[in-house]
Amino acid sequence: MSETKRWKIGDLGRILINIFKAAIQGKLLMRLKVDKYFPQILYTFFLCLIFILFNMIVENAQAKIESNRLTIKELSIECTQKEYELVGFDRRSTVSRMLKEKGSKVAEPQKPAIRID
Amino acid sequence: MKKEDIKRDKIGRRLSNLYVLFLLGSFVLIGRLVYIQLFWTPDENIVNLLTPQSQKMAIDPDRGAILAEDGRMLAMTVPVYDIHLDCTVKKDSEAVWMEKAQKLSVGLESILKDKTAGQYFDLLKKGRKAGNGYLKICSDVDNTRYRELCELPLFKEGKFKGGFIVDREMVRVYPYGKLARRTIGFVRNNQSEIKNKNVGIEGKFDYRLHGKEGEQYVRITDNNTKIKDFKKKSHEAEDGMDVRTTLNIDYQDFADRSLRDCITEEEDIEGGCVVLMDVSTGAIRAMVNLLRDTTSHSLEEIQNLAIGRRGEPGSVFKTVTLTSVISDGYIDSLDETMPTNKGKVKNADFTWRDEHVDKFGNEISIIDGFKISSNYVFATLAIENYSKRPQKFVDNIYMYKLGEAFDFDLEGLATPEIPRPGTKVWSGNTTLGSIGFGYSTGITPLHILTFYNALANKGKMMRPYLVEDIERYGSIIEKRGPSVLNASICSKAVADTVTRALSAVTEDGTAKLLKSAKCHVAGKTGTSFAVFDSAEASPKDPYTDKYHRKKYQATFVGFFPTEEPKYSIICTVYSKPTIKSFQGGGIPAMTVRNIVDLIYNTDPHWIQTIKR
Repeated sequence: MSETKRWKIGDLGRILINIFKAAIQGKLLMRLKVDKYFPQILYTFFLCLIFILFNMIVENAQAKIESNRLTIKELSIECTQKEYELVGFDRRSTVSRMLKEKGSKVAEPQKPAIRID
Repeated sequence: MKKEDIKRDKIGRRLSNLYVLFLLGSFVLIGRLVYIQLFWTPDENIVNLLTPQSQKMAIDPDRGAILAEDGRMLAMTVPVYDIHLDCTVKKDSEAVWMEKAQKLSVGLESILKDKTAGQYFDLLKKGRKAGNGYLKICSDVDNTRYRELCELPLFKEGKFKGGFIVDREMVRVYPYGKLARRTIGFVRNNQSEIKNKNVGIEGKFDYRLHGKEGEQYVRITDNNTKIKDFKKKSHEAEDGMDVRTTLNIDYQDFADRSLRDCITEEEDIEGGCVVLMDVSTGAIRAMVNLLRDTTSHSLEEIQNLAIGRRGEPGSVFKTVTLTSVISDGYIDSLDETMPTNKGKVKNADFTWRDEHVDKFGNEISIIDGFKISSNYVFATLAIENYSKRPQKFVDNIYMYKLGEAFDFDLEGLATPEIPRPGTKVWSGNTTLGSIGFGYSTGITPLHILTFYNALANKGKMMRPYLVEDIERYGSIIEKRGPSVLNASICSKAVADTVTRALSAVTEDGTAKLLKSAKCHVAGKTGTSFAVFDSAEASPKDPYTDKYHRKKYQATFVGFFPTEEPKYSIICTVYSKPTIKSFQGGGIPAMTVRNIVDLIYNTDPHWIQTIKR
């Protein structure tokens, strides 16, 4: 009949001493059989690396988006400014005045337009 | 023991020692890690400096534009810049700074043109000497000039190296200047002491134009650029919507120019207004409001007279009386006659006598009374037909929407004043007769025009409106458009009869000036006097001051072309106290004729088609 092993505080001490000894001897990872999971560990490190790399790429892309957004905004402001300057010349009486100043014979029509079908 | 073994043993020991050293080091590191993570409280300043912070940033929405009916911009938002210079940069190279400042001065002179290069250089030198870190160079510079300034020496080196400091502010601009300024309106700053903060379309539709502010968190990357922090919740700003109005900016220009031409030189004219409306829809194509500035005496858009100034309309109200009596069946034909009675109205306490009817002998027809705008004829018509049922006449006026402030696209449409029988202000037949020829009431020009527009539209009264739709990036979000105020204020036959009377006025009546217009116009003139304050008024006559001067309100209202009305129009001018006479058939009729001619020449409605 097998007897159930009872854990004592002393066992914990012994385990810690074993771990310490193994660590001193450089055999801790081998004792824990970590070498069996070596590919997984490498893969985890690889994932971490990819994660950091992607983070940096995303950050750069975001910075580029922000910069492009600012450029678009500036261009839109420039477009609005130009539109404002040009629309001012569109006023009918302004056009008439400018034509008159330039000595043009073109003036407001004196009769309705005629459509030729 | 062999020599080699001893040597190997030594190396092994050294390696073991090194290993133990690293191991102990790792224990220390792990211990330190645990301590820092769980127990150590760092200095807050150091944390702020070393931890990449997210900054909360408010995002202002772009305010929507106000557009004319054809999409041309009437109001838009552009940036203006205030430029300052930090004169304390480049401390270690004075000569270089001075050389660049000199070149900068030359550039500033050529771009800003308000000072010479020498003056600018003196300003910069003084700033440098005083160690001014915020020297004002210029303010309210537009985007075009700002871009040119950015290319100048020192400025192109940026904020830190060159000391170029820019403050940007978005401002509202109006490409057509003063055209329809009061109708387009504005929004005053909340800190303004003036109560009326929301004026015109800008004010009434501010909730649509403004948009919604947004906020977002940004963080600084390793490359020192700001990017959006997606770990924190943010919401984008929602740009304001565009408001497309019914205004035709060309017709607005015609109306503005015509009214200015007619009243600018006449110093006794305080101001005037013109409203042009599309008959079938009620869309307002032009709304001019000119008032003489008390200091500069120039005509400015500073008050919306068309919707806000309520006054006794005068003879233009006779059309209301005529429509009422015809609709109620009291007269069958415009050629019916009544005794002239020497121009004295029976059964009322009028002190005046209408001498204009004398030339017609003993009898005068309704149409003649209308053509000469006889107060006697219309007071008599009102009294004879409604003295027993005055409420019926008043009800008709309300039915014509002349007694209420209907829903309008601008704030400030005044509620008309129409006296009601049985109230304190009602003096029996005298009040009834007065209303008959356009006194004892207070009505705005827009109300009068709405009524005439309904006559032109064969009795169908359209609600006047200014906003066609609300748009975002060119797509319609909310369609507003035309709506009916009263589907039928009178029958088509009545509208035709009244139109015949209105045509007679422009053919052979008080508005003969319009006979020579390029298309047939039907309409009515009206002249009334404003009441003076008791302190200023003459003791005998509230319409005259102590110096025998009067304040005129002269109106012409009508529609064209008479045969198939396309537009209705009203022009009202207001005089200062004057001894001169201003009649509806004068300046208002002349203004309307000019506008009609200009529109006739350009509107597609009058395009003639010929076959090749």
